[in-house]
Amino acid sequence: MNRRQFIFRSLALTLAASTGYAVYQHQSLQGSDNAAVLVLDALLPAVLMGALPADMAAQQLSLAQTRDDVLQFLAYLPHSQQQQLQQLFELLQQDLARLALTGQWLQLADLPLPARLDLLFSWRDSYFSLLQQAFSGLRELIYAAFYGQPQHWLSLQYSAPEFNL
Amino acid sequence: MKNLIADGVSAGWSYLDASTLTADKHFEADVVIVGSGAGGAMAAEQLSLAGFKVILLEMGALYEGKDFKQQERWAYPALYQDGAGRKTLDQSIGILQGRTVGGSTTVNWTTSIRTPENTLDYWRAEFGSDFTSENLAPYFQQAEQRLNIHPWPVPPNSNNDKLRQGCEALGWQYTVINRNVSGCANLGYCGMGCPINAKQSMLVSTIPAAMQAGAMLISRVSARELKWQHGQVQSLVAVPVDSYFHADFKIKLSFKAKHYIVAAGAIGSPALLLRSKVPNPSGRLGKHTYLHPSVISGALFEETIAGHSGAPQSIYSDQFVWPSNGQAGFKLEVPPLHPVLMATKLTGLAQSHAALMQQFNQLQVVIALLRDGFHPDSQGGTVLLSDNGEPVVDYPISDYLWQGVQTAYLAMAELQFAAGAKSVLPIHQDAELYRSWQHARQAIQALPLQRYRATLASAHVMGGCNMSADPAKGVVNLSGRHHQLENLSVFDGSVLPTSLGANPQLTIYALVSVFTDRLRTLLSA
Repeated sequence: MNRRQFIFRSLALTLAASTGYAVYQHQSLQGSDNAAVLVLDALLPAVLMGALPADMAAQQLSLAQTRDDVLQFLAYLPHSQQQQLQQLFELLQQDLARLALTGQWLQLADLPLPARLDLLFSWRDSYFSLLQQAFSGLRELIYAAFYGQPQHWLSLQYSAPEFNL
Repeated sequence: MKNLIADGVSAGWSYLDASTLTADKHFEADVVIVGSGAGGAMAAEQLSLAGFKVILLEMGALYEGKDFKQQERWAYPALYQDGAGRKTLDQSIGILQGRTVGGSTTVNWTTSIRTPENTLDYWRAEFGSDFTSENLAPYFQQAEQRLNIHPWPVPPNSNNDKLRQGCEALGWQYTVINRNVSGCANLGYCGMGCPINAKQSMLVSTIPAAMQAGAMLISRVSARELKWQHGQVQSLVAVPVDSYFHADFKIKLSFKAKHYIVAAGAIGSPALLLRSKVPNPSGRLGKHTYLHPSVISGALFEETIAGHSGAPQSIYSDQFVWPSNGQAGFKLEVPPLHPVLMATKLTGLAQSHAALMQQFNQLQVVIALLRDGFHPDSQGGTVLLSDNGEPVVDYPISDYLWQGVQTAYLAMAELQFAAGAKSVLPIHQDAELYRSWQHARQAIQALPLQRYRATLASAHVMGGCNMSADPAKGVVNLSGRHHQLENLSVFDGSVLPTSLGANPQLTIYALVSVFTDRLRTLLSA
């Protein structure tokens, strides 16, 4: 466990303890391999409200492509940042840790979209710098992946010149 | 359109992509240069033309002319450090820094400014520098001629023109920017690599010239350690990088040279020297790293701005760079407006963010680059190494700089309203779209000055191996030579003793030309 992982785990532990769930430390940190997919699939429809195409099929395609682009991009980040994000994704998939981080027993995907947004805003406004970092980091990854795709430029009336494409 | 280096390689120039190696390899040369950006490539050309056998190392990949795609989703992972996601240690400041053959010159916005007089004065007073505008003038001229640096003769795009209009309305100073371009088509995609070889980056100028003169270019290689003893560097050890540009330790490249030039940028150069545990009696190695921390202000106009189109930077204002009250000064410029860059910097989530993005072409953006390093409460950041030796900059923001942030928000909003904005949005988590200057002024004065609330970015990393006449106050001397290791030099923005208060490429070209002149004499002796 590197320093950042340790800090994140300690943060979750502190939050868990403060809510009376100190047993958190006995939970395994080996979350499911697809923790990132599950968390992104839950957060993307909330973060991208108002930007997604209206057509349901196009919307699903757009969400899947954005999630895949986020996952592909992660490999370019420094290992420490990758590990920090992975840890966040895994914690959000674990019941007690999620309760500590979100105040919710429900899986992220079972929360209504406004509640998912409220969760992100609560991170933004948290006193814990790691939660503030999680807010800005996830937000940046999601918007970069979404607006990097030319099919999402239509509503912006933006087009790029086509040298070498 | 030609791919100059690929064509040259076909004709026999010496080039290696280190990631293709399957076994360890040893190289020998007169001079090994780590980094192919503004410093390393300028030195490579001048030393190669003088007859020295040069090997030029670059961590990034070789992309040029026909390879460049005008899409951020291609350009950022391919051409920038950490896919343009580089951040300071606490992730409060984003850092845009090139990582490709040609370094940041391949992706910069072409702004070319001579070192400000006040900055040179400060270096003379505080660091015993002997550089003046007069004695540097021949070196500025040489670089300006070499890279066709000239005032941009085309009318500014609307994004820049609003900066001009605001300055005119308020009686503030502004300048038409000098750019290093030849045959520029005014596309606006400088930050993704010039697809028509118009930008006179190192990629189309000094690197091909150096290779034509016999220099070897090795891309996708990460310099890990300088082996030294008895005051001399003995060798350099490097490894290839993987497809995501992370060091891959399975294969080793070793280099032996008469002289070693480190030019890996103001994060990479101190990191290499720190990993190598070079002597550091001044204690300044990896310290005093400056960023020109930049604050952002968006504005919505009735008319179309389309800030993605046209030369990204053609106007700047120095109205506030050198305030007489001792407060932190800042330079006003504009950035190019492309979807990813904007979407990631604009505040808001969900509908509020989407609504802003839908006004993308009416959006105008000003940035204020804070001049750091000239005040006891602005002593910059520190380059730290992770457990696996990778660098990160720890940059605490002092109250002194926060005061500059607030003043900058105010100045940008006033300017944007003066230029006719219908609303202004300081890029800060607690700010809203303000519809009048009066309202904006009141609201900005109440914004909390805290990390993560204000969105901060940097495109200029400087310092960390500062030059100084006195070995007690610097890492290298006034010729870029390491104070303790005889055959080691640092030739890049990390030698700057402070930030500049101006975009750094032309300063680096000129200083490195001075350094290279002196090194050439030394090596020829």
